Amino acid sequence: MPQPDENGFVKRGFILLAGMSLLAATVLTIVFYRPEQQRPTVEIEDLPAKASEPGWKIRYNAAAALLRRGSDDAPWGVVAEMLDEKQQLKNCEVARSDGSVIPDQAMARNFVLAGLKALKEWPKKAAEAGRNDAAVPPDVVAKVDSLLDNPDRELAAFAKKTKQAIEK
Amino acid sequence: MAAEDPNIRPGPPPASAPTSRELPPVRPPSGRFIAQLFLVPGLIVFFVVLLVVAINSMFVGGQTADQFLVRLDSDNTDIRWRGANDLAQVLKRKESVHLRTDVGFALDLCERLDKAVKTLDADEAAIADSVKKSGASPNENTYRKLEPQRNLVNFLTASLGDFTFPVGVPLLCEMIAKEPGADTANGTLRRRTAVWSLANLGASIKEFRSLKPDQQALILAKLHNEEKSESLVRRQAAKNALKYLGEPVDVKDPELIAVDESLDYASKSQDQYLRELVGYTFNFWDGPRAPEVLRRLSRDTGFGTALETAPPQSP
Repeated sequence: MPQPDENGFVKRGFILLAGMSLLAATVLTIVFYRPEQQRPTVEIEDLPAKASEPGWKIRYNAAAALLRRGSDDAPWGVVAEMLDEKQQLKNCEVARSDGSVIPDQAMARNFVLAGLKALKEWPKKAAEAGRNDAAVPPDVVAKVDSLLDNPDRELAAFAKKTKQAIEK
Repeated sequence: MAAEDPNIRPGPPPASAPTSRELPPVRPPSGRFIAQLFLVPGLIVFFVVLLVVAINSMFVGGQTADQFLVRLDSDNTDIRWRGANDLAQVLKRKESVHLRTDVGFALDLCERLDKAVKTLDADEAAIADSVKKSGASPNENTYRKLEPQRNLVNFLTASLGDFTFPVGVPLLCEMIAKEPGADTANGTLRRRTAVWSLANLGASIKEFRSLKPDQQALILAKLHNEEKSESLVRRQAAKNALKYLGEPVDVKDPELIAVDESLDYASKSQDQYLRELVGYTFNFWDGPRAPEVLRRLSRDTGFGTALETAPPQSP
């Protein structure tokens, strides 16, 4: 016959167990919860057929440096390519051990971000050089617009800041 | 029975011995108890930490400028390059600002790097000559014995990029301008390291501007003193550091180096990664040739080679 819980030990024990479980669950959630992993991935079925022409990393670095100087010789075609997420996914394809090929999404995202960051500085640097009427070509603006609704929140946020900077 | 007899009053309940369910009496902890709980473990931990710090400073090596220089001047090549490796890592730490702003230390490193590069060049040339005379073709083991000296050069090159003033400019530009010799892979790695270090140096100069005015004045004063040094390496390093910190200099001085010219030369290299680094480095350096070089690089067709090189091995 079960003993009566005269001193409330059993009840307190269960309350403590519930409290400890809640605490453990909270700690484990903080440790293992990764919101980035839940970010929807980009559709990779409709990537361009070919990667950019060889030397694209060299061109991108040079384009970013020219943008940061507010240069009026900024290679807008290269800049537009940098901001094309699908093109960057194609450029950043890596081969798996089984021979299949998948895009390195993190690397592709970094190239797009680098383009946005450099473009964001261009209007200010161009104005410092005395070219207040300098404008970003419409096709580049369109690339920035296409990133405003990107499922990657950081990318979308930076695209918004860049859009604000180039529209001033 | 007593319970039924009205003349017998039940007395007080008999005193009972404490049972196992009763708790011991509560007393405040004594001084001895507190010492047992805290003081003794505290002392044990203190002495263990003291022992670790003593072993670290005696055998692993200290982290002052003089201690690093002692290791870099050791006769043992392993101690030299491991010292350079430690230096490269320590300089990057936030708390090493006293090392990054030490003009004398930076110039001492320049002299050591210059000596190390000359020694390495001579050794590589000697090995290349002996291989040529023997008629054998070089393989991966041909230059293996130069590994410690190469590591020393690579780590010292990387270290120069972490100072807050650009004393490393002349040496780095000299290394960038040097074509890879008989050992293409290592020569290419050395050039890439020099360009990368130059980029870091360009970024580090911003730290100079954030120093307090009296710190900046002290650094500039020391550099001005070194302008009259008898050592070419120190003199050139100081003059170029002053130039790129915006101090007035004699523009016709032949000891002044134009960074944009060195980067222009590197931008024509067959090494694709080197050209990529040059474009990146121009985010931090300027010069009359910069726009033209960048325009050319923005039309790069990917010609040349994409040589894979292994970075220096850390211990």
